[in-house]
Amino acid sequence: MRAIKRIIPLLFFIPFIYSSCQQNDEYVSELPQGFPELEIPEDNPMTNAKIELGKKLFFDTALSRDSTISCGSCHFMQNAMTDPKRFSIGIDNQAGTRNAMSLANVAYGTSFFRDGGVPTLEIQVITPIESTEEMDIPIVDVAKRLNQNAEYRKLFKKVFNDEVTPFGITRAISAYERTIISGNSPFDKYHFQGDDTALNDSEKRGMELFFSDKLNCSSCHTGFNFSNNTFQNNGLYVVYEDIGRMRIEMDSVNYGKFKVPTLRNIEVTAPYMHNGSLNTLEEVIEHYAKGGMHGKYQSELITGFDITDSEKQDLINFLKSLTDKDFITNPNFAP
Amino acid sequence: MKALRYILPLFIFITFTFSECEDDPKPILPVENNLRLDFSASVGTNDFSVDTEFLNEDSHPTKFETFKFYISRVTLVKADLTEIEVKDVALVDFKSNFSKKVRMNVPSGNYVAIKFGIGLDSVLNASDPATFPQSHPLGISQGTYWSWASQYKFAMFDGRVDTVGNLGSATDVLVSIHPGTNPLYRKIGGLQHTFTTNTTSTEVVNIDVDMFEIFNGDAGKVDITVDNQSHVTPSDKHIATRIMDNFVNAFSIE
Ligand code: HEC
Ligand code: HEC
Repeated sequence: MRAIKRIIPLLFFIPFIYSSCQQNDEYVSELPQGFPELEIPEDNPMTNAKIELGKKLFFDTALSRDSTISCGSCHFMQNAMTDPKRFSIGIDNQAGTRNAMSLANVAYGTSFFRDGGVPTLEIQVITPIESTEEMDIPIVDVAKRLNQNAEYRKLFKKVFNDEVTPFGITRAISAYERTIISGNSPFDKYHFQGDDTALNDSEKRGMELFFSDKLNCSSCHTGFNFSNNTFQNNGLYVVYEDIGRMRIEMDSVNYGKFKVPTLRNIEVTAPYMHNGSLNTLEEVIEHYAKGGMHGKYQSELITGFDITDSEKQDLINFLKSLTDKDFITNPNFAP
Repeated sequence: MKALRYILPLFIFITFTFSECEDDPKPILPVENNLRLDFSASVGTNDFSVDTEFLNEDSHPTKFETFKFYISRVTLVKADLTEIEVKDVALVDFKSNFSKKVRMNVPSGNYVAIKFGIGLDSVLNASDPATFPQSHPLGISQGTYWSWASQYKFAMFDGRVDTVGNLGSATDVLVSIHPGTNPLYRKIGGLQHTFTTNTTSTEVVNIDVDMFEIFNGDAGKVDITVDNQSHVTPSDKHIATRIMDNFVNAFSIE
């Protein structure tokens, strides 16, 4: 019996040794009410150390050829991780051709970029790094460069038990991006958190309009993130300079189709549309009210409607109630 | 001391359990790769190499700095016409003798034909390039990934063609044709070739690919003095499509 007394504590001790070898650092996300559970890829579990490393990489200009541009050069906290410029400026002062997208709730994306050409957040990381207009450096060279840096070597060792690799860079940045969650706007407080006073009367009237059959906004901008994640031609042009989804799926039915964007924080993400061609929410509403430009491939859901000036103001007030002040001031999303 | 008697076996047991997780040593094969496909390229009756001038079918001096393509789902056909896939993917790159050879281990036996796809099937094409080791054909360092479209270039023809009589000058017309995207994946029906593999030696199959066929085959001609840029956008997709349709018929076993 005395033997057993000694063995039992030993048995307790052994599992302890082995579990302490693993990273016991799992990230516990506190999702806003009404938000579905996150799907985390099997090869990229979220840990606090990985997220921290991802943030460091996101704001590090070493990820560009001449060390001038970081991801944060085009995605700003106070603009809900978009760029207030119509076209962001990449390396060598080059302007792109599309308006930067909000990264709010990007964890729920089912495809990435305005044309949805990229299937995972992990793969997306490669695109801006290797784009000649944005950061212009092979990701393999970024890994080589960061391997010269003792701090990064230490962090990658800790998180991935490896040197700096493209695998680690893409995993860490996307783990960080999955923490960029916005869901605490007055609309959320009213709709998901049961605070009837969170919206004023004008905002409530605007909400009715937004979800009405007459305006039909919510046939595309629907669900907790105000997007059905489809590609639609919302009638901006008859002839598109940027053919959108058709670049990826070459059938002409995809002409001028772009991903339905979230409307969360829309107040601070101007200018609007894939090419930043509309500057204000008034212009956006006028565009929808007149029923688009009636091109051949325009969605049948864009039909136009009559709207009075005061209704327009109500609708704008509702859209502004989607601004999440905690989010656009959260230091986790700034360098 | 009696306690020790219990503890000791326990320790031995634990060590044993954990060491068991390590891979068993691999059985040693007599020969590492018992089948090799050695690719070569030709322009009609002449040999083709990268960085070397040749006359294209319109007798324009032409030079490619890059010529590489994926083959995938390499499959051997046995005498009884059953098939066996022996390699998922390889990148045939004419930049060096080494990278023109595709090595694999196949079961010993008698075979009558070889089949493969040109480019990548939709499963391989959806790969995340950051998940492969550096030297893997689908790895990010191969320079074959289109990050904007998250897909691979199935083949790359990069070079120059001369129309005024001095190749290598500023008047060269630059050529950059990169066929890709799932609809452009092509399978070759089967190269007839009878051969035997065993475990002690490497069987070598020499496969030639003819540039003339690629640029001027049954599917029609691609005049690279005019149609010289294709990255599979709607406006230039027809060029890449024709190249892939011709590619299917460009292989022969020597
Ligand atoms: C030069 C400006 C610029 C830089 C630098 C930049 N982005 Fe972007 N980002 C954009 C633009 C513009 C878009 C939309 C592009 C498109 O649709 O083709 C975008 C889109 C995205 C998207 C897609 C969002 C969605 O919902 O589909 C993600 C994710 C993203 N960027 C993350 C990053 C990361 C990570 C980095 C750094 C590795 C980065 N960006 C660097 C400008 C930039
Ligand atoms: C047929 C689907 C559809 C309907 C209906 C629709 N939208 Fe959109 N909306 C889109 C698409 C697609 C875009 C992006 C277009 C682009 O990128 O050029 C967009 C963009 C927007 C934007 C700009 C977002 C940004 O970040 O640039 C706002 C604001 C907007 N819509 C509001 C509305 C309102 C208000 C209504 C109702 C009056 C409405 N939408 C109806 C599909 C739709």
